[in-house]
Amino acid sequence: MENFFESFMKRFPTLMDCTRVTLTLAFSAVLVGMVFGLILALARISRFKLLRSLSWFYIWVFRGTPMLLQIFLIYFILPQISPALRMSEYPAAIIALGLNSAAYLAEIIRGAIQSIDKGQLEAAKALGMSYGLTMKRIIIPQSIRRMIPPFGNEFITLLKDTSLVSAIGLTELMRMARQVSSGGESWFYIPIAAIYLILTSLFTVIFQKLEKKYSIYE
Amino acid sequence: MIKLENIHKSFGDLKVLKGINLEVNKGEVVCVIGPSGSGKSTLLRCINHLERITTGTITIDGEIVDERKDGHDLRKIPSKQVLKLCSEVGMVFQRFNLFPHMTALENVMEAPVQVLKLPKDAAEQEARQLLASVGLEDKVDVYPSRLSGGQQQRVAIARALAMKPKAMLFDEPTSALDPELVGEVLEVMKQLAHEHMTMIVVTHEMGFAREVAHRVIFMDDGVIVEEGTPEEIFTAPKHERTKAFLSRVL
Ligand SMILES: Nc1ncnc2c1ncn2[C@@H]1O[C@H](COP(=O)(O)OP(=O)(O)OP(=O)(O)O)[C@@H](O)[C@H]1O
Ligand SMILES: [Mg+2]
Repeated sequence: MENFFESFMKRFPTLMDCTRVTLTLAFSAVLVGMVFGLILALARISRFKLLRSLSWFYIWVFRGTPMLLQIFLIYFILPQISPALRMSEYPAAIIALGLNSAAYLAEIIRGAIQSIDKGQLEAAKALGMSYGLTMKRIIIPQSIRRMIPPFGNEFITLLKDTSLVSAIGLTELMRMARQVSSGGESWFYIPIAAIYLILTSLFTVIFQKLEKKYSIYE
Repeated sequence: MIKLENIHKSFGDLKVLKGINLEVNKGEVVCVIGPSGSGKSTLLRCINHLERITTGTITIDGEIVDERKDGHDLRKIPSKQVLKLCSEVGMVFQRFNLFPHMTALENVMEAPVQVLKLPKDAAEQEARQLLASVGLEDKVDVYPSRLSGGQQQRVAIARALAMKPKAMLFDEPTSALDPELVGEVLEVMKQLAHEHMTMIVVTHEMGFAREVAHRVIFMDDGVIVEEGTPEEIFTAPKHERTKAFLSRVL
């Protein structure tokens, strides 16, 4: 017992660093995912068939293939197509995770936007508001509350999926666990699991609070 | 003020409007009555471009806002222009369609600030006056979900008036209300009529039509069957269809 505790304390600073890496990956990726996902969602409901098809195709590919494969594709395969596409682990990981979550978030955003009563669009139009203005001021703000629960689920999935980028050599929580345990201390998986659990529980609570906050007008 | 010439509207194979001609003068109140499915809502929605007509010409205040034949534009009207025209004709919906994430005041200020680019404080002052004029000065900071149906509809009227429209369209503004709340909304509409607002009102409130309308139009099956003063329509309807309808609703 004494041994475990000492070994744990010795590794604690590294553990915190790795937690930070995991969180940074999750936040950066979800940011990329949100921006790109919003664009995909708007394209998906656009008047233009070409945009709708492109967006559909993207979502189909990224939801239909394993995340690990997408990570490998971006980190290993792209540089072979053109050396200009070579990236270090960090940006590659963020882009891979971000592009993947964009596909899921796009469907969440689209669902929320389409769940808003058509009367809202008509009222805005009758007041002379353009499509862009209506989206920005009327439809998207109302969709946000409806997006929060599925968005929260997606973020938590993403947080756990960051563990996959250990496969391209980025030292986050999962890779640290593997490194330490391969040195003979396989018990180290347990504190790592605990950290994932703490993080996911924490964000579950945060998203519940957010949902409440955005329901004031209901 | 509003001139409709030979308006046809189809949804696919379904012909909903079959050649409507109607001219509404400045300051005139026209009530449209008729059975369900006769095309009353569609007619209003065509006037402010929520639906596109299939054939016909719509003129508002001397400007042609839509001219089409068999679903094709005879005149290209830039979408900016269309939006401006929409905002010049206020619309009040059966189901209010207030913006639920905004307070009463914010609902009324939204379009003047975002569309007309009015400074915020000027828009706010005007919005407060408008809300006071519909009897809601004490509800400015309340969200729609906390308002009764009658109060919501009055906010919706104030919101439309904030754009200083040349005319107002009402699509059964009291049909979604509990009977005891109908009066307060009709009162606001009467006040508007007294201020010489040009209004087209689709309604089932025959009392209101009789009292306020300058002209009543009876629509059935996509055509105007009969029109006249309230006197003429309600006491001496000429057409069988009008008589049959009135005997059902009066
Ligand atoms: N977007 C649409 N697509 C297809 N059909 C439609 C559409 N809107 C209306 N219709 C049809 O057009 C016809 C006329 O509808 P409209 O709503 O104008 O009638 P109304 O006179 O307002 O009836 P109500 O008194 O019930 O409101 C109906 O048969 C309706 O089903
Ligand atoms: Mg109707």
